[in-house]
Amino acid sequence: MISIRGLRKVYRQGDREVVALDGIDLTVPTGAVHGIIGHSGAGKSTLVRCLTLLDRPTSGSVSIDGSDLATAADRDLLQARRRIGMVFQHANLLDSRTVLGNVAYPLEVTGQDKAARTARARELISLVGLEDYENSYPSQLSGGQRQRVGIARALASDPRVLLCDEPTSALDPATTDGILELIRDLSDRLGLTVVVITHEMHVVKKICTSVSLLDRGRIVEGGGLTEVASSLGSRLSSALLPLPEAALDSGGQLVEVLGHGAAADVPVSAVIRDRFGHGVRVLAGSVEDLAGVRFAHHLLALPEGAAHGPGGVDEVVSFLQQNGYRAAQRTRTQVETAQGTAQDLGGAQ
Amino acid sequence: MNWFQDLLQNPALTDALPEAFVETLVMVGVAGVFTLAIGLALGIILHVTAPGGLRPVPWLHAILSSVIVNITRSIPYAILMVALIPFTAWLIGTSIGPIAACVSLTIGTAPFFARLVETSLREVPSGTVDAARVMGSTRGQIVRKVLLPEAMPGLVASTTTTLVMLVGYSAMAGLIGGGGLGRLAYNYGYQRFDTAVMISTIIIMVILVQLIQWIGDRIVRAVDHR
Repeated sequence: MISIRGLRKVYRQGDREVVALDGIDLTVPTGAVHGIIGHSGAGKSTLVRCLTLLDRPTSGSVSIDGSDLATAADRDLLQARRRIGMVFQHANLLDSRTVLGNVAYPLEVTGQDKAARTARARELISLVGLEDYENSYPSQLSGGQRQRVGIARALASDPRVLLCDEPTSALDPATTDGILELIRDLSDRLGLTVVVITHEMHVVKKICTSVSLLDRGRIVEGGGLTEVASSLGSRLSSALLPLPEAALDSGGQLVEVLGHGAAADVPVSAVIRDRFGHGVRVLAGSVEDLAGVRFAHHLLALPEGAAHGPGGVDEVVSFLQQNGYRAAQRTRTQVETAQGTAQDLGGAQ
Repeated sequence: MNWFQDLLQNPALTDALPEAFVETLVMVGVAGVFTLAIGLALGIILHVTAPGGLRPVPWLHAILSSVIVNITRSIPYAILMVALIPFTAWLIGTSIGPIAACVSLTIGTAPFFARLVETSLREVPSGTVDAARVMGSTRGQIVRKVLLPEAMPGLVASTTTTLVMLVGYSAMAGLIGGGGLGRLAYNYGYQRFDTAVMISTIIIMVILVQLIQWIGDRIVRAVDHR
């Protein structure tokens, strides 16, 4: 279990103070795959450096399985770091070593004998599917293969926690999915707690069980994936279930509807027609499965003038809410803002 | 074939030249070993103590840096070697001979090599060093297992450059008692107008430098896996 309490990091820039992390509180239970998403400048890199103690936090605590890293003495720090496996954006392998040498490196610094570390490294190399490459140098591998080596190396010290910093941001889409599946699979098989730092919603959708939104050094939204996805109007929900661009200038009252589980399988426009006798136009819609739950997200347009009274916006919204949907009336500006958020977090389609 | 027989009967070429060649090799070899050892250590210290380095020590870095810049940039080797004569005499008892010349050669080239080492080490990406730190490496392990192996192609190339420079400096050192090909060329080629000696010396120097460069390039290719 990872537990972060009141984590602050303040940098000095000349005589100016820059608050990079402004009181982060986060608990990631054992075995979870937790995504931390934010656009550049949100404090992701600083958070990674504080979690691995490459930078000392200004205040607050980071503990893994109960032992505090932030206050550890330098000597204990080496031991503490070995409990975290880290995967970097660019793999950061040693170019002068073969795949085998790279994976064996963490075992070498802990002083294991050569036979033991070679055996363990071979095991890890086959775990990530690179059996035929153990004598290759990193420069002879593709980006995806290098990242697999990076993952194998991160697992060498038998860490309880795998910290992935933008693990797929330098990879093409097909390779990205391969790497994400590997991380998910390893987490399941080895019972690892995984933290994935990313600016791409795709990564969160693909492997995370929970997610936090980091903005200006604070965690502003967060929770289990289905929980945050179903909170209509939140930034994470807008980015997890983005709507395609819709033509908003055709008039009418806008209603945003989100259904999940059973509600997602019924066409919402038909539900409204059956109840009120008049149809609605669907301006945009998307259906997606997140963490095994189906979500249907729609933007509907009700005829102009149908603001109040029978079949008006208020009635439709409260009817939908009573029937297990999340629904709300929206202005054009609100819809555009939500689309901007989705784009910002790399969730736009 | 008259000129060829002249060459074979010229004692400057048959007796003095082989001896001078050995002296040059001794100067380059001995000074080379000291230069590489001292320069490597200095270069590592420079890199590690730099601001943002593995163990920043700003005052030490500033002092070493300015000493190195002043020796290598401000003082021409021709002046340095003369100025160091009393120091050499005190250190090894004489200021004459190839071994004595090694003192000024080492002091003249070690700072240069140190700077090249520092530059090579700085080219190791900071991400690679971060990765090593995250994996729980000590500072010593990072230097030995990460910085030096990763910078190896640059370090070998720097070694080649430094040895070539030593060949040139050793010729200069010959003029003030170091011996070697430099003195041979000066005494015979310049003062006695013996063109054959002058040309032979030049040819040998060129071949020596080419050989060092060729071996150096071969090693760089062998250790470069980037």
